[in-house]
Amino acid sequence: MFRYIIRRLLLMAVLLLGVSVMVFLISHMVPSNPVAANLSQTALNDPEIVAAYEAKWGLDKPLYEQYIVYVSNMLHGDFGTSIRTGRPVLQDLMQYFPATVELSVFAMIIAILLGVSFGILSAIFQNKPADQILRAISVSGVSLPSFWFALLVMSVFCGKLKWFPSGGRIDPRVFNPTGGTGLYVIDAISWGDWGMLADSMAHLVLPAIVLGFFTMGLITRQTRSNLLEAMSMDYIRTARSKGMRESRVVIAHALNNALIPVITVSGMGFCNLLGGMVFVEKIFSWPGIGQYAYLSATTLDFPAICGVSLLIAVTYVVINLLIDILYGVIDPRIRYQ
Amino acid sequence: MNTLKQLFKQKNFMFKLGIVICAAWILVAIFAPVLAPYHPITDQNIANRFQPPDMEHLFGTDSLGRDVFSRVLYGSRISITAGIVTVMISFGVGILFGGISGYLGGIADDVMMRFSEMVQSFPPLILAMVIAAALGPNISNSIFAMAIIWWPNYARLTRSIVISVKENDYVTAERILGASHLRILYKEILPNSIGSMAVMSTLDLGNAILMFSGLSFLGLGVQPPMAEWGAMVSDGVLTFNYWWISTFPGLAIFSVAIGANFIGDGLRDYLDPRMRKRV
Amino acid sequence: MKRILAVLVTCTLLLTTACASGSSGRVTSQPEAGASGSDSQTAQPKTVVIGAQSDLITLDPGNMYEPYANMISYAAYDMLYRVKSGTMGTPEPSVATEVTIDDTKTVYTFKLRDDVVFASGNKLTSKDVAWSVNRVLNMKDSNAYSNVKNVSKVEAPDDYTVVFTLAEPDASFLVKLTSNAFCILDSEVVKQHGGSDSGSDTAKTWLDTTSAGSGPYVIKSWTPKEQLVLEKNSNYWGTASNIDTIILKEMPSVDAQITALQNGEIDIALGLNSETAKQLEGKEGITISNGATALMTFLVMSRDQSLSPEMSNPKVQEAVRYALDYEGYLTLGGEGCTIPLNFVQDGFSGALTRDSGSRDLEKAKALMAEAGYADGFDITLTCANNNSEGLEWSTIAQKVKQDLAEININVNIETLEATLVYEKMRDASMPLYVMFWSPDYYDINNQFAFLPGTGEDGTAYGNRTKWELTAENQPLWNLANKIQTETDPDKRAQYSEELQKLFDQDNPFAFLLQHPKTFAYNSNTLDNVTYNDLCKIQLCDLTAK
Repeated sequence: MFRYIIRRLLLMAVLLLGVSVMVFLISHMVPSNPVAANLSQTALNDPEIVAAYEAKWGLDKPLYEQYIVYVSNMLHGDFGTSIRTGRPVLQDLMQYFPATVELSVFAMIIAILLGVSFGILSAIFQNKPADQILRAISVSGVSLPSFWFALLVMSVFCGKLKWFPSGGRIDPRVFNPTGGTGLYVIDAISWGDWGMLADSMAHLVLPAIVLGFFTMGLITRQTRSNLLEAMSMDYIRTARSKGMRESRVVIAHALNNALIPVITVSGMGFCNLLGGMVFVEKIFSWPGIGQYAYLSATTLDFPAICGVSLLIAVTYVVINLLIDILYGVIDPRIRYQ
Repeated sequence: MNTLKQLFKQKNFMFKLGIVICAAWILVAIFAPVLAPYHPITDQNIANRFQPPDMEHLFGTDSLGRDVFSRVLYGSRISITAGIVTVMISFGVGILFGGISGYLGGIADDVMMRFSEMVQSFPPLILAMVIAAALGPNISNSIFAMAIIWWPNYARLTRSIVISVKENDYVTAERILGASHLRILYKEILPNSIGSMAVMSTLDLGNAILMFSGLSFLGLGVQPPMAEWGAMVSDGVLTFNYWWISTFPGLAIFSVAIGANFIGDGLRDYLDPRMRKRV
Repeated sequence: MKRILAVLVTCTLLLTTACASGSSGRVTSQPEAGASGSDSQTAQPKTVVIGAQSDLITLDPGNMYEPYANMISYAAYDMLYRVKSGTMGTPEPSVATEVTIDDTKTVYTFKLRDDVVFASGNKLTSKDVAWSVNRVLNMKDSNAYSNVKNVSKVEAPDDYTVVFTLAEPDASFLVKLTSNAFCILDSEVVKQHGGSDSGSDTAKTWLDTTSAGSGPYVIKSWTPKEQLVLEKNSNYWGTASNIDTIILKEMPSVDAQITALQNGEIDIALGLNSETAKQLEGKEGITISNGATALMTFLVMSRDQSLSPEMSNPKVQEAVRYALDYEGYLTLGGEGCTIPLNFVQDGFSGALTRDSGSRDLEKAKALMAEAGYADGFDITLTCANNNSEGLEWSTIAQKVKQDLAEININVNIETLEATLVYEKMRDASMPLYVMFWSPDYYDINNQFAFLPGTGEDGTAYGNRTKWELTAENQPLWNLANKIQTETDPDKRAQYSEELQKLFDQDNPFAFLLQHPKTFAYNSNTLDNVTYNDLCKIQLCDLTAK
């Protein structure tokens, strides 16, 4: 197992190198340069300012030279300076990443809790009305355009009903959390500040539901079909023939096996969240990686695009690795080569 | 033909509903010019903008006074075409790549699979945005960008099927008998993989339509004044008090996606033999 | 099942312990329960929250140029001159008390107030002024640099006198002094954090987290794209407002701003326009307000024949100006929009507006025929993914397409990412495009960027449209040169009118709209909400009820 992890980590390094080459090439394919995106109209007309700007960011050097400089800095832990924000990319990422992690973890918790329970109910009541309704909900989950769903949820729950705050992570009038982990829920718990906990949770609910809805659909679907499959196995029939109650059969026997593939889907779903993130963060004023990625891409901020892409790629790889390891822990039959 | 009949005989209400929804949208797409009361582009009327839904304009009018109903009808042409073409390209590329990779095995397989993993680990939206920005946003570039993101899924599926089929005794036997690679691929491997691929591609069709409208929503899809659902939702965003501008195209995207998903679900239940036993 | 649980529990425990040990105390602006209990009348701090999409990327006055830059710099810093409330760009003395200008119109001598102190407690003297200007003069890659560029040297003969020597006479110099490029920094403090007036300045990082000025507020914290916190400057030398904290909260969605304002989560919603503001009409305790801006949206038509022999024809360009349905654009822009006759915005010296009924299709068709294109032609109209005060450029482009179809011009719209459009604009490689313009300083001199002239000494739009300076259009520059140095306002306005009328006869633009800024605020909690295009909401005037 240890060797397996080492092998995977080595592969990850190769993968990241590949990703960095790809980002670099693609972003330099663009027939534009960051000068136009980052200088004002008057400054753009002034050759003196443009030249000084290009020299400062190394834009006047050939492409391979820019790449070599970039990679060698990266190996020293320096991800460059964002052209748009003028701050170190690492600093930017560290500022925005906790917000995104917090939101996606909550979205995942909601998705898994709802998804698994819907899936179980759906399987127990297979082909009965309850099953049909739950399946309709789960299919809606994977069919709703998140940008539209987010707008809808916001206008109903914040605008009309006024049940939830209309955006941001916390009420800035009352709280200004600094110096913590950046994960406000965790910070609030560790500081024992229950008011802050309640406030940050209230801000989390809506965006997390919108974001998790898609993954919830995926998980419901997977849980249902896995359970149905498991329930047709011989050992379940044996249990049933011994006169066990149906619900007990499901919970005691079928579920354990059925949940393993659900973990895979959850991992996939977690990575999927990042796609919806751009929209959800924008509509709910959530200061996270999604917005940062969007702005970096549209202003052709190469160092920031590379940084964000690498961060997301690392997240993807690490989550997949964790899932594979989790498999082994849960199901000892699985061996790693 | 027999299998098709069986498929429809299923007690699956949602599968049938999915067929109905998708068929209806395809008809709408074909007959849009007949069904639409107004022209989606040239019937501008600034004086009559932001009209709420009434008998004259079923879905109201947008910021340039165009009929939202007609634009939603016409929008189906673009969204559905884009979805189908994206899935077809990813399907083709994926089957080829995965088939070759699985069939060759060894180092070639390793390298090819690492490459597809690399593409997969790349944040899809950033990739799409950068590609769209680089090539200029229009329908074909968005489709191209989405296909780049999607093919690895098909490649992985094909590969796993190819590997499992390859180990079968009858394939080994055929190879010993001197059948060509192409023949084996064509005769044995393709028929075995087509079922799962069909499920995957119908499910993906919904996803492709969602993602395409998402790109258009960000301004990276179609060019105005073309009517496209995602772009129409974004028209309504700045003015959400005119709810009809974004609600109807949003519902349209939702209904097509849900139709495709219903069909995909039904197909899967049917094609998965273990499922069928219980249906 | 038990195994899953065990794994989950271990993970959670690990995570919480790791995070708990990493935290380092909490800062909130909420008063301690004990303190407010004893003195409940006065201790309640007044906090104002502003919702906006500011896109601020730095808080260093030497680097800022974003639309909301001066809202912050006016709160945290002082300049020699500031914009007079209720005007677009009229300067009034702030730290300076008087100015004398020599006969060459290049040497400005300012007397300074002697009672100005920085938030640090240091006295503001002339050496701070000179140091701050020299700092920006040595930051040539900065957007603020173009405003200070004309200064050839700054001297501080005594503590309260500053002498600026300009490279060339400039009637708009006092106006330029009101912008963030001329903010006066506390040189002692900034030097300690890497500040330098001779190049190699590294104070930006520090200035992004705090301020070193003498304004009514100090910057307490800033998390880009999340929030900016301003706190009352306890050492403020002027009359302080009754607000303790101002928070600028980033809300990229206009709908979020509108609901938040209605729910009382924010006090001012800055990102509205005339359409979105309608949701707030008639709501109890909410006031909708319009402020004049110098933001214009217009069509640019290149004179470069290689891009399009048809579109570059001056007759065709004139026909386009006649074919546009100005009434329609006014409707699109909404309440408060105006149509500038051409390159001088309403609010600037001698500005003229266009009559909204001036569409004349017959004349336009005649001009098309005269140019030899009665049957029309195809042309690509490029527009960026961008908007002017909430009016999407793609909406404008679709209207233009419709209008020009009337004179047989078949327009194909091409929308691109804004950066790509700016790049193409710089290369002058688009025959027809939608663009906007907001001046760097509020004076007509800034608008000469639209006059003809190509090459090294050319103007911004002269180069972008390949509109060459010829003997025929030389009279434009003769007038402009007079305006550039004329200090008498009446004469300046008169020259300006002449110039605009002359410009109207032949130019490669079609000016569509000048936009107002629409915002709304909670009138139950706020007073004196004044707007000025340079510094947006004037935070120093703002008071709480």
